[in-house]
Order: sequence, then structure tokens, then C-alpha cells
Amino acid sequence: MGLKKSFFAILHEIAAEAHCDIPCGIYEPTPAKIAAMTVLRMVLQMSELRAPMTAAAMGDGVAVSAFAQGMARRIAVKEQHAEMCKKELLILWTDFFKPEHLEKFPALHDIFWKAAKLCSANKQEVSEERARELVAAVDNIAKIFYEAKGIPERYDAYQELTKKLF
Amino acid sequence: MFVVCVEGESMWPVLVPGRRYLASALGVVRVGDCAVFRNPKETSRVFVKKVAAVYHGDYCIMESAVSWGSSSKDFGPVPRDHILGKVPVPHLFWT
Repeated sequence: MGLKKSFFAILHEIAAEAHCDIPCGIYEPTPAKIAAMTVLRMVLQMSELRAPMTAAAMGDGVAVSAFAQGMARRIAVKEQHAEMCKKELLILWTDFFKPEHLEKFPALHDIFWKAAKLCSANKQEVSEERARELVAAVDNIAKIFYEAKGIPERYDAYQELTKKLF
Repeated sequence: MFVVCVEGESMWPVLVPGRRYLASALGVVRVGDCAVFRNPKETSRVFVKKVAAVYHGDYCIMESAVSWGSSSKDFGPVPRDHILGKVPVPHLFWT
């Protein structure tokens, strides 16, 4: 055993990959789009929820707590799905995309970085504009994703599915 | 002669991840051999895979034992000058 170790030690050693140079997992931008659409949906609903403003309503404990409950739930869902969207995007960014994709899409890092920032902005704000920007950013990433996979036609199916979520 | 440290399980059970194998830069790499080569798409990365065919000096790398392994379908044919050597593996393993 010692002799074998010594023999191996004097030889040049290289690491050889016996795994894929393509991702082994299942990667898909649809979950990120669903999360982004949920953020938008929550923002739209929050803008429609009316706080009890009249003196009578403000004194109505049930009405006040119903409003607070409805708003709190939507805030929580918005927060959760903005985070979910960021997580899904980071998976695509760090696991699916490879250095060779950067040659074809030189702005890739910037696109993902800005999309991740938009996820954070949607956690901080209640803004329809920001939510729509996030949806558009995810769509843009989806388009790049399908092109990188060599199936650009799949983007239409993705849009067909995710545009009708609500 | 050189030593190859295998990373990844696509050559399992022929080559075990984390184990070191003695490789030879001598001799011709033939169909069925376990070739050590530079990935034509990214030459800084060295792969170890089984040779499926040789066409006009280019090596066609076959899909491995596992369905998710990469092959020449992904990185194209491997030119002869990208071949670093081969890991002698008993053919018993392939059956």
C-alpha cells in the first residue's frame, strides 16, 4: 500500500470531470414567473382594499381587524413570493447558466443582478410599477433561458401559460 | 503516466468519484477506451469519458452509464490534440 502511494505521489495528478458540463437538474423559469405574478396580484389587491375611514367604520372593531387581517395577509404573501422569485432566479443564474452562456449573452450577470434587486424592491414597496418591472424582468430571463437551452420556441408556451395566471 | 482524480458520478461504477486512477499518455486511444481529454468547448476543463467512435481523427464521446452525463452531443467531437491519455479499465466493467 505504501509503495502504491509513493508511486502515485511522484506522478503528475489532474482532476478529470466525469459529470455533465450541462446542468443535471430540471431548470425552468415558470416558478419565478408565478412568484412575480403573485407579487403583482397582491399589489393590485392591496390597492383595492379600502381602509375603514368613516367614523362609524373606524369604531367598528370587526371592520378594522378585517381590514388589518386582509392587508397583513397580502403583505405577507407579497413578501414571501418576492423572496421566492429571487430564489428561483438565483437558481437559474448560479446553477443553470454556465460561463459559455456569457459569450452569447454578455449582459447576463447585469440582467440577473437587476432582477434580484427588483425582487428586493418589491419587498420594500407596494408599487404596481415595480411589480410589472419584475414580471418583465422574469420574462426577459425566460427568453434568454430558452434560447440558451436551444429551444426558443418554448418561450411562447411559457408566455401562453403564465400570462393567464389571473 | 499520470494520475487522474475522478470528479462526478457519470462514469460510475467504472470510475468511482474521488478515487485516483493511473492514466497513460502512451499508445493510441481507441473506441471503447476511457479517454482523458480537454473539453473542446472549454479547454481548461478535463473530462474522462468513454470513446464511442473515431472519425477522421476526431473522437466521438459516448453518453455514460447514467442518462444525465454529457457527451459529444453536448460538446462536439474531441480533436486528437485534446486527448491527454486513457485510463486502462478492464472491459469486464462495461458489460
